[in-house]
Amino acid sequence: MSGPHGRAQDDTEAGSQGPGLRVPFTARPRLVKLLVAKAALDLLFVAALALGSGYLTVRARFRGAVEHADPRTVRGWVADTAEPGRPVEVQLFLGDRFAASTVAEDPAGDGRRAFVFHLDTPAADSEARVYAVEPGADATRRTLRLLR
Amino acid sequence: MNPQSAGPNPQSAALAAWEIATVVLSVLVAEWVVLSVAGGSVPALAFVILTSVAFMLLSHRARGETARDVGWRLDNFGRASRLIAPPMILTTVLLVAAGLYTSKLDFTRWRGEDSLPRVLLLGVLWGFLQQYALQGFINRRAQIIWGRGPFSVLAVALTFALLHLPNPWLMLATFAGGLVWARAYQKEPNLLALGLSHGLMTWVLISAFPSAALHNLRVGYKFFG
Repeated sequence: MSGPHGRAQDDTEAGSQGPGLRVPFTARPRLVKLLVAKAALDLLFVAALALGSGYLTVRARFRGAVEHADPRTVRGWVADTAEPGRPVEVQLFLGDRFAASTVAEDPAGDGRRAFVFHLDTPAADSEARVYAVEPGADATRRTLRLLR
Repeated sequence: MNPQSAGPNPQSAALAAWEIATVVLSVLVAEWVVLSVAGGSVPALAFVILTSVAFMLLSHRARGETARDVGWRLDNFGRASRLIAPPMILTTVLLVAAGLYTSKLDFTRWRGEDSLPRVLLLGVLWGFLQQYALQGFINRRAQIIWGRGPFSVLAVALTFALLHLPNPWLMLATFAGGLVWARAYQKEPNLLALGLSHGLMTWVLISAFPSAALHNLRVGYKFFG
């Protein structure tokens, strides 16, 4: 294609009609670069989200321990390492069942707060687990962290 | 052979398909990943929206598309409005009748705690943004792949419905709306008329049915929350 008509055919895409839909072939490398850049940005963004959420999941924001447990009382302490000294909501599970909730607010030194659960009915022979409640970005999302 | 009547160049079609895919993927990431992993973080959502809009603007520039080509114009506003008015009126009559029949019609429902004019204004602005992405970008790229006509119109409507997964009624509504708006855009590309229509039809839809019936218009991961 060496004539003027052939040149016109070579300069634009075929099959597209309407203003702006016939693309100069010279624009293709720019579009490809644009697509690659966008894909790289998206990939980095999703990777950052994944790493960020992974960090939020595995980081040890709370320290704490159950120091005493008998059929009527569970006692221990918790510390929020992000905000030392902050009262922390804690939840007691007996076996796999939710049993009680309270706020650890009694100062126990070194940024720790003490909690105690008094059970109205003696707990059966089941394992007591205490979780600190981590607030989410909004009120609908909260995460339970096991105190070890 | 006349290049305008030939089928699309495979490379051009592939390029256009990738352009559609990257924008659709960004919206899906916002709906499914950001809302689930980042709890709907505003900066994260803003990042997705801004990078997508920037990509679409740079793509227009690379392709030599002007704002007028894309549909930001007034000269055909009347013609575009006349094209979409009949289906809009018919849908409005049907939705209002359904709302009256079930005694659930409430034209102030959309405002929630806000003022109705403000909500309507935000709704229309949101409509402009959605119609720009859907018609000004995806529809135009779909025409590069399939040409003007039913295939590209169907592709746009299906894409619009896909972006409203997994809300069944909203998917149905957006598929139907997508068909009407995509067809109208191919005949008279005017994003102002389509954005206004989008905002108004959303208002009528919300007014006709209780929020629970439409699952509060929630899509993506938020649908389950």
